[in-house]
Amino acid sequence: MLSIKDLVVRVDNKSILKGISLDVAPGTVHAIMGPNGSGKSTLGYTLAGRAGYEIEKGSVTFNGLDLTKMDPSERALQGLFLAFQYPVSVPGVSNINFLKAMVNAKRKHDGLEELDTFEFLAEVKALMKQLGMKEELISRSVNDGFSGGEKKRNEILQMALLKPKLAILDETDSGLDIDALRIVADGVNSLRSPDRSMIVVTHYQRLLDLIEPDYVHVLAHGQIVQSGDKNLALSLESTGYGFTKGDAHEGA
Amino acid sequence: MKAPNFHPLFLQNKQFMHDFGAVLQNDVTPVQFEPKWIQNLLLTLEPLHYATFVDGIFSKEYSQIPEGVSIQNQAVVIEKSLNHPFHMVFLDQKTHESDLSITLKSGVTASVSQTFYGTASTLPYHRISFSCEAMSVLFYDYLQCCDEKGCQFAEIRITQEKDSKVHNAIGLASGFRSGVLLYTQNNAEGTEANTQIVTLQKDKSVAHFISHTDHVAQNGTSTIEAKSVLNDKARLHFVGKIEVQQHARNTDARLKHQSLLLSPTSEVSSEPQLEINNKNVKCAHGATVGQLDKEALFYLKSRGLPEQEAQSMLIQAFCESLIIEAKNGFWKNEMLRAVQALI
Repeated sequence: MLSIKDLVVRVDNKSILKGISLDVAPGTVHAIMGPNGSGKSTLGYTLAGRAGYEIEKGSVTFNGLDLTKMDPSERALQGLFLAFQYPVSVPGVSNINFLKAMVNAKRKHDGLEELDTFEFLAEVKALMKQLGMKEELISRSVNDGFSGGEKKRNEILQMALLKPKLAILDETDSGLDIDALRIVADGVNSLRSPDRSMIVVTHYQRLLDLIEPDYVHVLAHGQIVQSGDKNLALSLESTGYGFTKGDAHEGA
Repeated sequence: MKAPNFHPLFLQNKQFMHDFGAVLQNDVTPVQFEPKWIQNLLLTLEPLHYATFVDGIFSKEYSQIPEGVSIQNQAVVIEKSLNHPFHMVFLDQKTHESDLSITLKSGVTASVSQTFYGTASTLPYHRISFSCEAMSVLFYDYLQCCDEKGCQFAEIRITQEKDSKVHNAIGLASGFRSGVLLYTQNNAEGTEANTQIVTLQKDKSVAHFISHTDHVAQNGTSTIEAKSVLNDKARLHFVGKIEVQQHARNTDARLKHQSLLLSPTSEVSSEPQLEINNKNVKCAHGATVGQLDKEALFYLKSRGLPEQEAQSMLIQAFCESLIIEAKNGFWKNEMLRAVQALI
């Protein structure tokens, strides 16, 4: 589904990703862990097409298409979704209008008719209930004045409505208490399917207790320095990221 | 083309005359609005009560005047409170100057809308004077719709008597050259004036907007909230002046002008001005100029919204408080359409 080959990315003229290769097969969940500043969020933003993330070298193909040639809208319409670590507030744009515009843009791209307003509203309300979101958030401006937890749940709500082929969850667990984490994880798990892949970026094992990954990768100094199964995350919990502080190529 | 008798506040602005010099040099064949087009327009507006002015002259043929309103010799008198908005439609076929006075009698509440349609390079100049008598309440909507060659100029003068209230919504949508002077003056105490201004420009549109709020009497409040969006090579010169006279103590006057530039070649010049001659007043003014929030734009696009739709959503959000909350549905729809047309 996703194939990253030797990806080198510069931001503000500084190399952040220094040769990442990763293959994500349909239906698999990959966890990316690593210390602060290792390039985890840069990877997410690069895949989503954020301006200023300059690909210096390497390739990224998504379902056989060159992802790097697409603008952010096209990437989303092709089925890529980034759940932001810090979801952006958009004052003045009501959440429900945004959600509807987003879903209809996808349906139009897929050659489907626009959703009936009442059906759409019913679906949104059902998902919000499942995610433990207050109904008033539907009419408020997108993420404006939302608590950290509400923003993260709003990201998962968008993901559930868009039903992406590949979801990148960038530190979705940050800012969530234990109960909220479980609700969000349940929401994510309910979206797991054989044709949907996920890249879960996190610092902590606690999210991976709830969203069990098929593969775990450790990112440090802009490179994947270690890969393994879910047990790697468990061992990191006891050893920490100290081993990554030496040679960037160690264990790669 | 003969120059209209511009208000001195326009003439004081050298840039204004420079901008209009090219228009004044053109001799343009007047256009003729077909009766069928006028009928269709009135059907679109769906007003219950309306008056049409062709080149500034009242046309009885295209009017439906409500009870309690009289129109004679370019003077409109509203003697009774109106249950429905009274819509005035101005069709400008040729270069001309016109004067219209509107009086709200004491205690009357009325909603008055004025929509101006111009086309080609004609240069109509409208002088509209409202006299709001004591305890009257005026809801006034002004909408200027021009095509890319159209020019429109208006001097709107509102004088307020004791305890009167006015709520203005001023909309200016593109056009080649346009100028609006809004002069609000309170002659007696306890008045309230709230004004919302939205200007939307694209292509090579040039607009001059002068807002002058003159507090003469005490205990008056006024707020002006203006938002401008400019694209392409559009230019706007905005002057927001608050003047507080010597006897106007306890005045509370505020003005805010926010601009959004969508292109590197669009220009806005915003001049908030204060002239205060009484120490016991509260006045505030401010202006900001910015661009579309790139983070927000990326966020919307990352959900599959095309660039144009994402931009339109953010522009609408910028103007939302002034457009969406407008009471006049026609004014609101026209401004929303102008937002869509900006990009």
